[in-house]
Amino acid sequence: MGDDEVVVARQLAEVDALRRRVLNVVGHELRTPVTTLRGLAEAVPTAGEDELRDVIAPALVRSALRIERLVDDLLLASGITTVLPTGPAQSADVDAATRAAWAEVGDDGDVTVEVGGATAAVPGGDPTLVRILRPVLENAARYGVGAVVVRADGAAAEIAITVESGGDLVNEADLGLAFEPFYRGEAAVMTAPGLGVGLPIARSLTEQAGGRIEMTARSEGGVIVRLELPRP
Amino acid sequence: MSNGATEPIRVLIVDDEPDICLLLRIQLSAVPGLEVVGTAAEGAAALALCRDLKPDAVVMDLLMPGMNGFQAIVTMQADFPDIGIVAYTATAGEFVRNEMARLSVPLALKSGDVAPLAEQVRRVARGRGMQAQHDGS
Repeated sequence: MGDDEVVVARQLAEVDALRRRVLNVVGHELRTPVTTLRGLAEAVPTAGEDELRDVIAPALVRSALRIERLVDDLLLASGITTVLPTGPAQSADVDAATRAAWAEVGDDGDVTVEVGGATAAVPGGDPTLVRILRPVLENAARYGVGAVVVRADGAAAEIAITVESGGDLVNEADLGLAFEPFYRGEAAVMTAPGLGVGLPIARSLTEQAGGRIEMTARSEGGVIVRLELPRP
Repeated sequence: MSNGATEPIRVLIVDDEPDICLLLRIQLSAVPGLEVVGTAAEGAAALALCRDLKPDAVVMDLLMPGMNGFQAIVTMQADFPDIGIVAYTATAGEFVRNEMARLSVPLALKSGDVAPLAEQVRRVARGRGMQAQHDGS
């Protein structure tokens, strides 16, 4: 086999491995909400009125929303941009978006939000900023230790939002790959489900808004994600 | 821990997905002969509940933050050998199947149909009960 053939064979093997990994994580991510949808729907006929209204119905809605978000994420990650927000940039309230994103993450841990009245300019406004911040906060909550700290500062033309979390010293290889679609770090694979598309989508939305996003390691352990966006 | 044949099998659910815990609490509580006695969101909390609640069987998710299911199963088998364990997972690739076979832990795939999981719970609870009788004889 010639050198070119070896290269092609290796590339095909990598594509095949990626295909299998993507199908596996999609199946994994779909199974939980589909399981709860079916199981809870089947429990409806025998449920009491209070349980149905207060417990089962909200859980059914949560599962449906999770599937909806998964489909949106897959379309974005696959490069089908029909679900990207369009139109001119709108002012987004950083404090409100951070708190909404944290609520979606649903973590019981501590978060400190010190962003004052900061605003950023992004197509789609608040919902887009929530979409950017959710995976950043989710990663901090899942893999960080201690409180997550969100701050805002920056020069006149741009707002810089930093999300800082403590933890172990971070594998540099993970940092470099964190924004690659369908990549999942060593800790992520063993401890939590996930597609590995949250941060790549955050980057796509940030860059669409004319901004930048990067992740750096803290010398004492943990990471800082720095998000720079235009001001309104 | 239940001893008599008529006492329900007491089940602890371990999963970081609150809606899965909710679902299994509803579904398994409706299965005759099973009683859900608690839920935990990760392995260390599950081990503490095993001490307090002394369940007959544990339904254990594998991928969880904190102590994951793989780690929890190893500790649980050492510290609570008379508790039956069923691994409950969304996908079971080669690594998961091999690990569970090595640990002699049966697998149940997450599904809206609770019957296969309930059967596995009965089986491990029965098996552990027989093991305890054997060890005590």
